[in-house]
Amino acid sequence: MLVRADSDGSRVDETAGVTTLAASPDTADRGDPWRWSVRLLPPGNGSPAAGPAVTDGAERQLLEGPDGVRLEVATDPTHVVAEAHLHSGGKAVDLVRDAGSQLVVVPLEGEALISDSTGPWRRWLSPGDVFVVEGEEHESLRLTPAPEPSHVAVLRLSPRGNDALRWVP
Amino acid sequence: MYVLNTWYVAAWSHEVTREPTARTICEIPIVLYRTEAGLAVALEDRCAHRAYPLSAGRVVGDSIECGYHGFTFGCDGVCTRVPAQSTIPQRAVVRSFPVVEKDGWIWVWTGDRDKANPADVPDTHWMNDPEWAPVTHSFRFDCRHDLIHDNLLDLTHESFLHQTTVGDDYIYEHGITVEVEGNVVRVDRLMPGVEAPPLYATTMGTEGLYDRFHCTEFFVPSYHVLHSGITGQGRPREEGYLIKVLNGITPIDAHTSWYYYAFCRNFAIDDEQATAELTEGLHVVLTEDADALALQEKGMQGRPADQHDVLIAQDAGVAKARRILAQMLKKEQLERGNPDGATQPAKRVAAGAPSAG
Repeated sequence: MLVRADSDGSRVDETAGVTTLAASPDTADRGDPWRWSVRLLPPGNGSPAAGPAVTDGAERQLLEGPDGVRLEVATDPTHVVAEAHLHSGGKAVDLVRDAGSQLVVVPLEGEALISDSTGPWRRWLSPGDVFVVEGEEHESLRLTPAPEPSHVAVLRLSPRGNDALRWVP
Repeated sequence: MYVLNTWYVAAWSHEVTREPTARTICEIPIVLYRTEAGLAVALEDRCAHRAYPLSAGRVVGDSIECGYHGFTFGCDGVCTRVPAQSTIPQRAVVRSFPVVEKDGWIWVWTGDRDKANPADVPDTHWMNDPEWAPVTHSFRFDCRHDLIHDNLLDLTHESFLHQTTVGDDYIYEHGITVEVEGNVVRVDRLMPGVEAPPLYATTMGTEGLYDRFHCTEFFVPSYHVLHSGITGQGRPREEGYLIKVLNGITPIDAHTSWYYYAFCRNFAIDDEQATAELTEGLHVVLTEDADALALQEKGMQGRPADQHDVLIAQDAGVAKARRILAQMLKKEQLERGNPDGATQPAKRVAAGAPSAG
């Protein structure tokens, strides 16, 4: 799913400069158990209070982007293993998503091209956009950040057990 | 419950004549008629005198005359005649609604008049384009409008509800790509190397394997375009047999909706047999949808309040569209100073002449 920065209703939680880009689920209303959240935090130290339905004991990782902007990925460690990487200017990266895992791509500075390795689908991503890809099949993508300055975060979310991670926003 | 600051399809052009026609949109009673010059007019269907429906009256010139005591209202909603006296009470005004007539549909703006922009009426040009042949239907669905939106955003139901027409087992085996931009949600599915569904195979005259695709584009809150078709394997979609299904979804009340439907094709344009087969086949499809959603509506009404849908990954577009709709509703409610969400009619304000189509 590609959610553009200007989407109505896409930013579920905007308090004190905190923006939830994507979460599973993005609402506690349905009663689904929380698994992960990806949030943009303002410059500073510490982490603001957890977003809706985030459980106690959540694991958090922070990636720092330009101008002190921080990207936080919080996960339920009993179900999700998270890895975070930052890619910069101009160099293409092959992204492989294993069956049952998820990738979350967040441009922090500059644009980035995300494309299907095997087909014509391609989209330019800009800061404020978020791209989440998931499924029960193996998948190959190519990420090409624009020339410097550009920074793109790629978060890999993998299941801790045997069940595939599936995302319902 | 309803987004009001938007354009809703109120009727087909041919349904609006010099005879008053009643419609209910978002629980608002509306009367439609045409002026002598042929312009469509939409007024509140309730006489300011003693609440008699104006749709039970008659059109006189460019005005509508109440069938009970003869109060006459111009197309701006202002009373121009009270048969029993010469003085016209200042409060004798009924609400008038902005109207746009385009490509065979009458659109009505149900919200704040000063926010109505005719340029925001969606693109429906395929209904009026010589390179496309439309097949049209309109249905009254016994369900809340939300269920129709969900139905269009998740087309895996075709494999189960529409097995003799547009359904095939392979649909749900293929994943979706969802894109959200502004108030538009797009759910796209590509099904490479498959046979055309039964209804299309007949009208397209195809055999063998093709790349099939469908993309629901939902302009929240009231209009979908379903871009569909088949093309040669590995070929661009634009080269193929293309279908544009236009869906105007208009809430009547909490549990019923109007469904305005136009299936436009760029193949077999002049083939009357194809048109007849599609008219019949698509009527079957819509009837199957109407029956299913009516059952679903009953299920939802009977479900305990603390139970919620168990959504799956294929519902991603559904989930996002619901969130956008909820945000739009919340925004309107806050603007109206009504956080609890009750539908509130706009104040009765005299307005200018109706918009031309």
